[in-house]
Amino acid sequence: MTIRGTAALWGVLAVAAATGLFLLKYEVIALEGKLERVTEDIEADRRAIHVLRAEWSYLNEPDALDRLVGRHLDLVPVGPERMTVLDAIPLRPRPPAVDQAGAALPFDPVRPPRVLYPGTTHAIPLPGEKPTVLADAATMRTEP
Amino acid sequence: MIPTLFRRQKDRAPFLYPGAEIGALPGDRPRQPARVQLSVEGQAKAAVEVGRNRLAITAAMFAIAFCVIAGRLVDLMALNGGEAAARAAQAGPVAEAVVHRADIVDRNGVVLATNLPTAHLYADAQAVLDPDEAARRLLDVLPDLDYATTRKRLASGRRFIYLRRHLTPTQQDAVLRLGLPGLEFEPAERRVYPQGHLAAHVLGATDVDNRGIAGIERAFHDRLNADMRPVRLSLDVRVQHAVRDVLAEAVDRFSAIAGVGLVMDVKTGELLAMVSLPDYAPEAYGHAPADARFNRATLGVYEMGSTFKLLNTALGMEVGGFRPTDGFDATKPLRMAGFTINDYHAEARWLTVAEILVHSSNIGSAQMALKVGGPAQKAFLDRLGLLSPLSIELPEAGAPLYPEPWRPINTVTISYGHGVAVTPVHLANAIAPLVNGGEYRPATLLRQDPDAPPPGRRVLAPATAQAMRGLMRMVVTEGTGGKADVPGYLVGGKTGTAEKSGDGGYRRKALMPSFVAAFPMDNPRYVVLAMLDEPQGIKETHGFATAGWNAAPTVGAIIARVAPILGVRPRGPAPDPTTEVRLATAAGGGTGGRDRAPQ
Repeated sequence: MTIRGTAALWGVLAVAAATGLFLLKYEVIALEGKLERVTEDIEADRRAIHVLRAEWSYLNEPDALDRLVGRHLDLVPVGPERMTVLDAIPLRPRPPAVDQAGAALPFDPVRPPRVLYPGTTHAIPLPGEKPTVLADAATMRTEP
Repeated sequence: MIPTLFRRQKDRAPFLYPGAEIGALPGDRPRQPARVQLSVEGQAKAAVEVGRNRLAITAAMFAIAFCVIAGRLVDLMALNGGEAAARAAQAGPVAEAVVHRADIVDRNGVVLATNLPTAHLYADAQAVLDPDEAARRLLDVLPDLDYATTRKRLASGRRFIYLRRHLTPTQQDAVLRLGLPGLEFEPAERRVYPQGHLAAHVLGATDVDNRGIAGIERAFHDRLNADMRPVRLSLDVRVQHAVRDVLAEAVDRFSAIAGVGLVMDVKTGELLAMVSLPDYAPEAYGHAPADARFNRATLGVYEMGSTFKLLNTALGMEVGGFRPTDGFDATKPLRMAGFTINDYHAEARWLTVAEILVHSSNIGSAQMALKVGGPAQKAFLDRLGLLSPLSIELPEAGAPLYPEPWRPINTVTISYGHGVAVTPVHLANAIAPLVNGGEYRPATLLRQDPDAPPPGRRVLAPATAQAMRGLMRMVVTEGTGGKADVPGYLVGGKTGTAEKSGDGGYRRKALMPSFVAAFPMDNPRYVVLAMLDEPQGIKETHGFATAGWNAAPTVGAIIARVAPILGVRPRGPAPDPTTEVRLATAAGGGTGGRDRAPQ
């Protein structure tokens, strides 16, 4: 290989490296700017979350809720006389399923709303916790 | 490049003297004349050699340097930078806390105390153009400022003078919109208590510089500033609210000076609620009267009265070896050291250990304590933590008062709760082993791991604890504590009405009734204590101001409110709603009627 060829090869390599570095540098600068913006957004969100958590706690102060409930709703604290276990509730009796002519109709129980996962909910919801989900009961225990 | 040089070196023809190339044969490789070389000899030759060596070394060093740079470039670009990338990835700004003091939360994570970012407004008075106008416009957005003071500050010519501390973001925005030169902001933080009065005495307070000056804020001051993870208390805001609500109503109804309410988990020692009334707004601690700042639950020491008879009965059975059926003579008042011990509910006959407790007989308790003896009584109370300062995570921890030396007359009075003054938390903490099978765990305000409760110290035989549970239930079903009963929750407890000591004696009319209870008695989970300071007799209580008439129903009301929250299921035959109502509930309201079974 001639000297000229070698020099040309090295020249090309040098220009390529310089171009690569140039592009890399600007890409890094652009990424840094983006990172800074994202970081600022995160910081702002975290500050907002912090303040909102305090506000949420303030708005859920039991005393204030008590007054609001007393003013607007007909609710009273759950007393022991309102608590029982699921097994203590009697089974639904079979309805008198007869049509006008007196013939028996196929049994069709009314499907009431049912509390999903009753064991996992608190007797009184914790402040900040989602209320219990109501869903249509797919099955309802019925007296045979 | 380096191999090329070598090859060129190798291709060079052998040496010819000048002119000898002429004699070369045709067709032979063209031969070149030897270069005319300067003949250097001696010193000059050595100098050239040195120069060449230095050049070679320099070249080698440059080569190495370029190799290193090249290697590093390849490493950064192709191999992803190694440790640099790792460093960039880990140095996330996300780890930084928003504020400089950690939150305090309840056992469920509800925020009880937190820092909020605010801004101090200050003026660079030299940059203010027109103090009059600036003060007037500033007052439009901050009406609580004083015009004259603000104007004076703006005209003071000082480079830094505070106008108002702790602006909310909205106020800061409003001030910024004025566009007045010379008004600057300094970022700050302010401690806020979103739940207000609710847990005031537990949380304590902070001063203007957010330094803890009372309660948990003071006890955990360094921890709160060092570690931004929230401090999780054992309190439950729902229980705390229920207790405070009921207690406030009781204090109000009986015109009491003050009240204390406690709910304690007997299996872990956690305090789920701790209320001392009157209380204060933690933000305005400095303006609260000393009476409201005083934590009666942990700092105030009181002679607790007959509730101590529970401990005396446990002492008799555990140390004295008595059985609930053993009898003591309570036929006549006991005279001792110039005092006469009487019974409030006098039965004037021999009483069994159980009856002494149920009828709250001072004479019987004194007889039993005298049989066991003073030193054993003192050791027993000490074992239950009643003679040592309260070990709780608050700076406001009271030290008990007890007689020294411990004379027989002290043994007698202490048996029914006079002569030893303890905090209400002391008492609740000492009652817990009586119902939890005999294990003492110090009361705590920090949440404990429910799966790994702190190890308890055995202070009572399980048999004694079992018997105590039955006796406590009897006090409610047959004795003085009937008004504390809540159907389904098997409440057991003991009333206590102490006379407050005044100058040189007890004041007959100044009473401190208290009631300490546990529920449900078949497997006690919680100890509940209520205490009122100087309640008055009212029409509904037929003028009585003793514990059975005020503290006991207060505890009953507390249990009725908190038991459903704590998930304690009512026992036994529940008050039975009719089948129709149950079906209506199950069917979801209105459809119930249609599904009703024909009777």
